[in-house]
Amino acid sequence: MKKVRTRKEKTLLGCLTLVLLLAIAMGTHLMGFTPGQNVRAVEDLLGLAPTEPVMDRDDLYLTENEDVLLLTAYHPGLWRDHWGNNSLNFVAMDKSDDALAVGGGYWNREFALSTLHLFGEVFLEEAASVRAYYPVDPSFGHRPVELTAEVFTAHNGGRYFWSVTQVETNSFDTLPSALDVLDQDGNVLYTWDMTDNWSGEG
Amino acid sequence: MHESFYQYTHAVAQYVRHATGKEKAALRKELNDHMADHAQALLAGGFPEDHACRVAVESMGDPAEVGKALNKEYPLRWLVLSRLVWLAVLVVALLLILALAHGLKGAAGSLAARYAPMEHHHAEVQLPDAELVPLDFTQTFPNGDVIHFYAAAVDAEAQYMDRGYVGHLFAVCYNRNPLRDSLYHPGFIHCLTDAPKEETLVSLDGSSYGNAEYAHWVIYFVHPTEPVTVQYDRYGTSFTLEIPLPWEEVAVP
Repeated sequence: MKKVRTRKEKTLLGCLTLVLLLAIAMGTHLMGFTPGQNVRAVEDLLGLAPTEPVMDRDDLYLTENEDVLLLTAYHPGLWRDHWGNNSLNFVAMDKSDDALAVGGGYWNREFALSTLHLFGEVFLEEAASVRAYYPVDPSFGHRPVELTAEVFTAHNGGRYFWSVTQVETNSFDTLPSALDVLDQDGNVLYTWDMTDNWSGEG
Repeated sequence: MHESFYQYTHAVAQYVRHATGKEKAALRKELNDHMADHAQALLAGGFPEDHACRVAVESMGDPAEVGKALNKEYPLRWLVLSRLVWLAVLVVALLLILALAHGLKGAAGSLAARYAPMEHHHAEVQLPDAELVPLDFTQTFPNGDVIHFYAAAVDAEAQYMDRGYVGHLFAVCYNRNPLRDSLYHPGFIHCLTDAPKEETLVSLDGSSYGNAEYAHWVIYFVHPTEPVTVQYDRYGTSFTLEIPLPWEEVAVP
């Protein structure tokens, strides 16, 4: 007769199997249990050099290297989207422009409210704030939303902006497609077409 | 199994409350074997069968006491822990199977992209007036994504008021690992011509098939013998490719 395993043996075997499956899941970037693991997974998926932490806000983590500013979302839980779909989990901002790297994210986590993030790094010394807007006359039926953010200096000496705005989902239908970098007096230093810089869900 | 053995093991099993069905069956089998061995020895010593079996059962002791004592050998906490661990194993295994299924579903598209891009390309893009000419220009990204420029065309019929011809360039992006989606989007690739930037209009349309992303650039306007230059500079990766258009296929006036 086949030997019946003891309960301790069964538990041990289960633990070993679980560890093996979790290792496979983490190795294939299906799961991440810490924000750092998520960041490493995104770096690997994009083939980026390691990024260093800049700051975090809620469950979003901003890291960077000399080429990329990376915003990675961390959702505690088992499932992390299908194989790292970038529209949901991270925003990679290219830093090849001399003036700024910018990204926008929208998350409709609540039915009636949308959370809009505007974040990036500026390389212009005089920059004091940014303003994201829709440059077309809204009388054409668009209901745009306008976002602003102050520029601040982070612990690493870099200059960043990151605003979080909650707006009623029904009150707008158009995301900003232009971004102005402003100096202390509100003069426009630089204008960026951010049409392709939005990512999000909802 | 002798009837008296059956009744005894059944009575013992009633008191082993924390054992699972399998464990009870194994326990009953073990007790039965033990009594059968004992009875066999008595039979060999000349005892009648009924007597041998009765003695074998009686020597085991009171079934209630034996059952209660054995019940302690099956602690409930290990059963609960074992069940929880295996439940977690099941959940993680299901997630992996779902992910693998997703990857496999897209793998056909990724494999088709590297071996027969034209087949799926034709299903997505219609070019009635242009002759497609195969190309073979590839570029690999640091994450294993590959962009393959696999065809080009010059649309001679679509000549616009002497401003030039319309060029078409086709590419497909896939990852070397067919289970993975390609993440480097062709939309970040710029197509340039020799003409000043403001005189060139490029439009891009695309489609995806499985884990592969197809792209089609329409370039207004190109001039005879001019190549198209494609440029990429993003996330620390940059490349420039000069791709010839099939001017030999066009009857240039």
